[in-house]
Amino acid sequence: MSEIRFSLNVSAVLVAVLLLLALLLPKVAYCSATRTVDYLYIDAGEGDSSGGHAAIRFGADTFHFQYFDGGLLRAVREDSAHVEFKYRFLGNRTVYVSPIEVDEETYQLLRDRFNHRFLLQNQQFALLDSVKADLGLIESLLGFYDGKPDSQNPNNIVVEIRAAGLFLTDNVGKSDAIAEESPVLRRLVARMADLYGVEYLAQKQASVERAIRRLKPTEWDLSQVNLAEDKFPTGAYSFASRYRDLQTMRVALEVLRLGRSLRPEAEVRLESAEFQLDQTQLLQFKRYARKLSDEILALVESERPDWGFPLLVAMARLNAIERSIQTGQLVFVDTFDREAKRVDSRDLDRYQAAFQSLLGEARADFLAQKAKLYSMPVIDEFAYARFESAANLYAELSLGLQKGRPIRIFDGNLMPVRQARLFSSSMPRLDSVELQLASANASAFQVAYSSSVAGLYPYDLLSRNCVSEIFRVIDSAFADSINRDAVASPSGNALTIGVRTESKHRLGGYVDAKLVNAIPYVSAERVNSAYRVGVERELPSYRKMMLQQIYRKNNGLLTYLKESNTLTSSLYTRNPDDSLFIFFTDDAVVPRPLYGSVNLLAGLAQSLAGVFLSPLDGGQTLLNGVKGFSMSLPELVFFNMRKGSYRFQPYHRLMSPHRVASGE
Amino acid sequence: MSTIADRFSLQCFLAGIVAALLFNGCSFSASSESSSNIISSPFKSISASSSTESSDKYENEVRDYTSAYVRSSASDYAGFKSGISEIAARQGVTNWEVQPITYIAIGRGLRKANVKGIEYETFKKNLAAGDYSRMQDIEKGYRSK
Repeated sequence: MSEIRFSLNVSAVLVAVLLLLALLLPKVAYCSATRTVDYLYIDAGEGDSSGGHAAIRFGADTFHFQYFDGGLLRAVREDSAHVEFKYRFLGNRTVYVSPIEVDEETYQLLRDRFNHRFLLQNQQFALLDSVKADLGLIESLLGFYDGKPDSQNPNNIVVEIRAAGLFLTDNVGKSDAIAEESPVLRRLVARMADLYGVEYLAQKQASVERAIRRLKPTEWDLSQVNLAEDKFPTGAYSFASRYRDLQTMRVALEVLRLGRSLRPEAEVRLESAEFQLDQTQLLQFKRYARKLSDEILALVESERPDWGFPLLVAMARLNAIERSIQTGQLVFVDTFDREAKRVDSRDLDRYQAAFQSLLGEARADFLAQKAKLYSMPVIDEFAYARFESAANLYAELSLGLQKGRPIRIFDGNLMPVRQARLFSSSMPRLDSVELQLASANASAFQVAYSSSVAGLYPYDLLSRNCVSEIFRVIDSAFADSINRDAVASPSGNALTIGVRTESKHRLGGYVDAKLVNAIPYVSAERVNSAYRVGVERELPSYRKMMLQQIYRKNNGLLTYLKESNTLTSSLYTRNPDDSLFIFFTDDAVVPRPLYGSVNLLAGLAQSLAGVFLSPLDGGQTLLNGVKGFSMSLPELVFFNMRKGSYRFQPYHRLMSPHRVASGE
Repeated sequence: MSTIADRFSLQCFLAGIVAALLFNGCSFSASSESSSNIISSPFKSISASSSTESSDKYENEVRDYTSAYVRSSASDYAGFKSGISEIAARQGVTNWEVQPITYIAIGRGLRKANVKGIEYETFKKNLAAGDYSRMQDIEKGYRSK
């Protein structure tokens, strides 16, 4: 009997051990998490996110949801370094990072879902832009047929062509005797004649002209307006896009046929030893010039519907490279938009130190890109575009700071796009009846589609905001995972329970982003308590980071008083984008209501002054005063939003790997 | 280093609720940001990553875009190419057709979308416009890990 009892006891123990293992093994598996997904809480800021902001980061990509005009909430994907720079150093807002430990499969599942949401929305909004562009074109054509053409040239319509401005001035006709010829393009045309026949270019141009005349408006399908958050919409190569691409081809072929040279104002040069070419570099450029020439010959035969723009860019670059080879001095194509904004002269004075730093960084970047380019056995467009952009930035800052030329603002574009507004006698052969019908069709589609988009992505302060959307996407990723693996797809309560279970399994817990949990800083607290989060990191704002350095050297009362206010602080220069305030309150918790009172009075004073200045400044001072007053109110109850922001900051100095990694 | 818990007090919490209700709780779009932000952060797109990283990013974007596109309607090749043009433009590339990496990425995208058999062969031929070396690059991407 005792033997049997012993056997039973051993069996019971074994079963218990097996059960325990079955329960623990999943946790053991997740304890070996290999990746982290970062939940970011970005401290409140004046104006655009007074309640803070939230984002989710997957390595180099950060996804977040922003409010867009029209009351819409859209997914945004940005470079993680750019997000950090924008918020920490320009916005002067602290970023709190909660690293959620996940396994590789969960990481990819979530990243793919966020990316899919971003791509899908992009496509949906691109369709809306397309129909609006179609309406604009139809209106122009109707204006032409209704007898309201351009007054200077009644037989032509005006078209704006990207990159044409590198060769042509606005409203230039087919030939311009003053323009310089390009020997390299002349040689290319001769090669083309040898390869494809002497009539080739003329035939190609005629073919493009015919295609323009035969263009028909898009038939917008109203059944496509039923959008869904998980349905990638069909793209539309719209009437306006086809028209734009064909006109661009027409102009590009004309530039090639005439052998046009780059306009002098479209060239970027710097009288500097850094722009000189040695023999090795010259040979490399000659090789790249030959490669570009071959690519141009292939481009005119491409089946891409939009080869006109790359043809213009390639011809422009070929001209610049040829000039570089001839002179032994680097010449680049100007990559700034013709409408590029310029830095205000007051900002130049205000941010003098930052601009000097930026110049140093631009020079270092240019030299680094040059070294990379010359180390390549064969130059490709990826490397050349970056080299060209770096040269543009360096030259722009150099000429601006050293010669007083207005500095143009770089908008992130990495290729030459300078537009030209040109007359064109080539247009679709459509009568006003066809155009009216097309207009009615496009209008109906636009109204229905806009309504559908607004219904799908409305912004709501608590229920559909930057926080709630992050967790909706997470939930949808887990729901899909359940449906994929299940024999019979659950729905309703079963699915909700399933998603919660999946979240607990993959992330360590579940966050229900409703009501108060949808407030950014509350959501971060919930993430920290619910999920499997490692060590939370604080990435201090610019001012906090600099204050830490200052206080390490001298943390006396006088230093504190000096840095506590906008009048004497060494770290802040009045930014017109900020409301008027006297005391910084983000690092002052105990005296916050007192400081806030002073700020409130400053806002009130500005508002009163604004009342009297309204007839002169259109109410701007009054508006700023009201803004300052309202930003000070929360400070009276210990809540801080306003930090003071910066229009310009040096990038490398602040974003060095040391600072980023250490979370300084 | 303080944690969120340290800063979290009842007064702050209540004040935060008030603030969130009175003011906007999330960021406005980039269109409402000051454009003068941009000049201070140009280097992220130029030097923060090398041209190798740039081409890797391009490859991943084309892969993901292809995967999303073919899972939807997928017969609008002109629209698809227009999308590729936009992705390439973000890396400063205009002539994406001559970059083998474009077609390798397309192949990876087709595999990611789980496209197989005749459907795969049709996509391969149409997206490569019948060009043999491009079809080979698509195949290479499709077979890669």
